[in-house]
Amino acid sequence: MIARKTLRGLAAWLALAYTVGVVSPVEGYLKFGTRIGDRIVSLRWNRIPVRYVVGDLGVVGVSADQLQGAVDRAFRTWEALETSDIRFEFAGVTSAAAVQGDGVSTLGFTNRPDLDRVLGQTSFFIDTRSGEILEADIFFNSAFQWSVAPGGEPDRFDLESVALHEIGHLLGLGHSAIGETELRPEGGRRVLAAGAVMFPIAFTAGNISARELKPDDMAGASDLYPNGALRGRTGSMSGRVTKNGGAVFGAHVIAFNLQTAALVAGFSVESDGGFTVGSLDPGVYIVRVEPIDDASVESFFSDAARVDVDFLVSYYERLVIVPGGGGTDRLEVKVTGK
Amino acid sequence: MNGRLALVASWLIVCLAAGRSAQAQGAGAPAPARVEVSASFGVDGGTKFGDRDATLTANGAGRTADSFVLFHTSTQMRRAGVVSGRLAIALGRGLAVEGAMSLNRPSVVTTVQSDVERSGTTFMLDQRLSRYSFEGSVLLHLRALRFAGGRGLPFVDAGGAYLRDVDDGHALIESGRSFHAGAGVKYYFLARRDRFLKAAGLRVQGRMEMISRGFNPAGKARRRGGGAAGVFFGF
Ligand SMILES: [Zn+2]
Repeated sequence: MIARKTLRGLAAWLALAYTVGVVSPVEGYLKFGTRIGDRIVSLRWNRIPVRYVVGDLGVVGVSADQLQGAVDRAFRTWEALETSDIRFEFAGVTSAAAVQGDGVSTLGFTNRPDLDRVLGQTSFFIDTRSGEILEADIFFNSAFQWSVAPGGEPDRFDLESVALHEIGHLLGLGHSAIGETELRPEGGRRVLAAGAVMFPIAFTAGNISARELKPDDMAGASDLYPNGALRGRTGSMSGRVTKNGGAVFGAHVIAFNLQTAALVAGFSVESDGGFTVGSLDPGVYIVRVEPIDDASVESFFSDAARVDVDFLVSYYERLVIVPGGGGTDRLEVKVTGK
Repeated sequence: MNGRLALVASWLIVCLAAGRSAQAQGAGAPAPARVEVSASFGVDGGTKFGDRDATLTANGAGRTADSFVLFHTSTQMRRAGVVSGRLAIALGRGLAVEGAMSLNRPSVVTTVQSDVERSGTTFMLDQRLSRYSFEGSVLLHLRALRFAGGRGLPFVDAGGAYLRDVDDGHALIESGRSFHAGAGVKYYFLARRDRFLKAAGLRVQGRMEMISRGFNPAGKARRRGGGAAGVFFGF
C-alpha cells in the first residue's frame, strides 16, 4: 500500500502545523516515522542517489535557470556533509506540474496565495510497509517575493535558504526546535534566533544566513544516511525527562558540546519520557531541557495534546561524556513545573 | 581523602621519630642513596578551561549574522588532592632519574548562567574524574645549596607524563600528555652508608605543568600549578 503524506513547510511568520496523519516523530531530530505494526520506522530513501527534476517556471526576480541554480546549491550543501552518504542527481527540467504519485520528485514554483504563511512545502509518497520514500515534491510559493542575489535582497525571501530547509524535509527530517521566538503584538511569532536550518519558522525576508547547515541539521542527516566509515566515530546520549517522578513527553533536549559549541537536539518521544540524541561528536556535553514554547507544538508533533509544556528550563545535574562509537545512557533530567 | 590524610600523617610521625635518631647519630652531609622510593600527598591546582557561549544565529534582514546567546558557560577543573609514589635511581653527580605514578580525583564544574529563559538562575553541573599519571623526570640535586648542616638538599626536576582520564561512569577514557618543571627540598632525618636503609626524610616540592589533550573541554593546552609533601627512603 502506498499512501500520501503531506507536510506543510517553512512558514513566513508563524509556525504552521503540518498535517502528519500517521506520521509521528521518532527519536533524535524528529525524523519522520511511520508505524509498521507496533514499530515506528524512520522514513528514508533507499534508492540513492535521489533523482529530481526542476520546474521551468521562473518568477519576478528569479528566472528558471536561477531557480535551478539555487536548488542545485542547496542539494550540494546537503551532499557536502562528510558524515552522511546522501547523494542527489539532477534529472532534468520539466514543464509539467508536479504530480503526486508519478515517482518523479519535482521542485518548482507554484502560486498558492491561499497559503499566505507558507513559503514552501514538501509532500511525500512513501511505502507504508517499509517507510521507504518513493517520491517527494517541493513547491516554493510564488505568492511571495523571492531572491537569489548572492547577498540577499531586502524584503525578498532567499530561495536557496528555503530550498535547503525543504530538502531537509525531502530527506525525511522533521523540524528542529533549536530557536528562540517572541510573540508579535499583532499575533504570531517572530524568530529572534535559530540554531538549525530545520527550525520551522523562517528568518526575516532578506536574510541569507540559513544557507548554511548547522550541527543539528548535520546530525539529523548523518543519522538517517550515515557514512559507514565514519559511523563509529560518533556517539549518543539517552535518558528520560521526568517531572515529580512522572514522564515528560515532548520535551526538547539540547546537547551542547563544551569544546565545539555545537548544539544538537532531540525530543523525549517515548512514553516514559525517554529521549536519545545521536550522531554526536565525542566530547563533554551540557544537557538542557526546555518545553516546546517557541513555535506551535503542532510544528513538531502530530499528537500535540500529549506534549507537556508546563515546566521550566532545566539542566542535567552532571556534565555528560559522550564516547566515540558508544553511548551514555540512563540520564534522568528532572524538571519542575512552572 | 581523610583516610589518605591520616596515612600521610602517620608516615610523618614515623619519619620524625627516625629523624630524632638521625640527630642522635649526628649525621653529616648525606650522600644521595642509589635507589630512593618516596610517597607523597599533594594538591594539583585547578585549571580554568574558559568560557563558552551556546549561540544561535540571530535573525535580521541584513547579510551579517549576529550571534544570539542562548546561555553562557564557564568551566574549570577544581583543585584536588593527589597521591603519588616515586622510584628514583641515582646516576651520580647529583643526578637521578625518577618514575612516578599518581592518582587524583578532580571534579570538573561548569557554571551555566544567563539562560535566555532562566536568566536569574545559576546552574552548577559537575563531573568527577580519576586521573592516572605515569611520569618520568630527571632530578638534579643542588649540592652546593645544601643547608641545615647538610640535611637540607634542594633539587630541581623536569620531565613529562602520560595521563589517563576516566570519568566515574567510565564513559570517557582520554589520554593526554604533560610536561612539568619544578623545584623542591629533601630534608634528611637519617643518612648512613653501611645499612640497607641508607636515608630517610621529608620531601617537599612544587611544580608548573603544561597539559595537552586529556580531559580538556577547552581544546587547548593549559597550565596548572601543584605542590606535594611526603617521605622518602633511600636504599
Ligand atoms: Zn519545514
